Amino acid sequence: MAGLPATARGCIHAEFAGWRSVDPAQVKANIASECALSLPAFAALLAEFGAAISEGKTGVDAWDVVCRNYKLRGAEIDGSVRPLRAARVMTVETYVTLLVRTTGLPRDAAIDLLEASDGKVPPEDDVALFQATSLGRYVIWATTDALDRDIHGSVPLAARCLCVTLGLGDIAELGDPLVCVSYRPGSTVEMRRPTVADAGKYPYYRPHPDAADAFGRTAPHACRPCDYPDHDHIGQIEFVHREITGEGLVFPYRILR
Amino acid sequence: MNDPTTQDLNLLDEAQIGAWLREALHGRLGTPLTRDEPAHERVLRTERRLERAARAAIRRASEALARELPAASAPDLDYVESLLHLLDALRRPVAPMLMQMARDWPAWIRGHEELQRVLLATIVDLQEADSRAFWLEIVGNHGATFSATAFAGILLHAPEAALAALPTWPVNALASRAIGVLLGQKLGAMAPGQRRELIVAARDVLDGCAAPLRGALERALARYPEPSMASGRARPPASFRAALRSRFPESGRSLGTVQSPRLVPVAA
Repeated sequence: MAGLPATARGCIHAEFAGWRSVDPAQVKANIASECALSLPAFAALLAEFGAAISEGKTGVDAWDVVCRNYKLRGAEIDGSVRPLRAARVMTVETYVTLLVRTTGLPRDAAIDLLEASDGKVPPEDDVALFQATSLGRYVIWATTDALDRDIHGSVPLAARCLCVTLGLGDIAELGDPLVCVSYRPGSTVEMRRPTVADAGKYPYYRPHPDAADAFGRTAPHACRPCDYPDHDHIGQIEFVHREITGEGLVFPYRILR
Repeated sequence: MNDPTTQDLNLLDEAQIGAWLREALHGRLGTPLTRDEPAHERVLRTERRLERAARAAIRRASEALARELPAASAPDLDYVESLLHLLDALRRPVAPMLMQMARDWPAWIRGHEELQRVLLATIVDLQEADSRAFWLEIVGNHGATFSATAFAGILLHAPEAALAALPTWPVNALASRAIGVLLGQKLGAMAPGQRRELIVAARDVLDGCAAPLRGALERALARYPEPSMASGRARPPASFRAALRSRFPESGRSLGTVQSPRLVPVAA
């Protein structure tokens, strides 16, 4: 903030002062803890946010919009530690919408397609549809528990447990099934450490405090009940990359309830 | 707009619910479970917890928002996609309006093939009766681009007609795969004794289909071998198959949706 003009600083301070409810307050705290975004990019992001405030755009939604120009700006993960295999968790509904927009399957058929191969290697034609479908939109958030292992080996496969470990929303309260996919992103896909700009207004994100770490780390929700009370919820590696198709998917995927 | 609680929403009037829904579908309300979940998912999650009157108001509001689409100038495309998925999940009777949009695409959606595909897929799930001519028109206008969705649309009400149309359709590699999957789902949803006619109809068109489509259809059929056919008995003559088709021109069976607990709740 120090590098910003006084008026911009004043604008932003005044705006942040109003972010008192739980989610905006967390986004504000995250911004204060950011250490993965380069200084010039962070300064430009804040300056742009200050300009948006001057134009009357306020609140975390305005922040979210400004963040769109600063996605995938964290440090690129070096080849020596780059994961060969990634895993990501999304809601079933999210995957269904991705399948529909790519394959043209109606929603009901996409749901059936997804359910039919839970925990199994799908038939050839199903595989082709999954491979053609994007694994997410805009910025893909991924994790991996080691360089060549997938998340299945380290985190109990229950939705609630996974949400606690990965620091997602409260599945216990929301009840939506999740799908966990693992994939080989391919050598041409840049992997980057996540930043507050990638997270936008998502309040469950926590910046990893170690500025020297190549990766981000998820922040487990220590206070939430879990189906596996003995499991030691430790933060998982976290990184982001651009939108890619499921060409590198490793089957089977798992649906977690 | 502040983010209302479930209790607040139950107290809102029709206009306020409409305003809430518009904001929510723009992703400006609610906290997503994961970072990239689409906005309609939060609406569905909220809707499930509301009292009957508020749920009905959301249904009406979604239809009102849908009616704005044809005349919209440049709506946010993610908003439109979320609205379409919501209409689909809540089974709102807007298929005729969406079909009209697809016959004469508004300028803002032209060139956005994925969104067009979502709109067409929504029409299929809304199960508009007697839509065969519409789907043939879509294939005629767009070639292979939406042929899998068109196949699904016809398969819903006239499965044998859907198969009969395939040899004349332009179909790309991905659509071939999708058509094979749709046929497999349809067969899987039928009782074993009911599959025979559809299997016969599918085998009937194999020779006329291009190799990728033929392969996908064969793979779908291979999962449901009919005992009498597998044992080498001759297929019924074509005239008999034609007679069978004429007896069941519009079966009205559902698309191959498995009758099991849904992964994604669908409105009653």
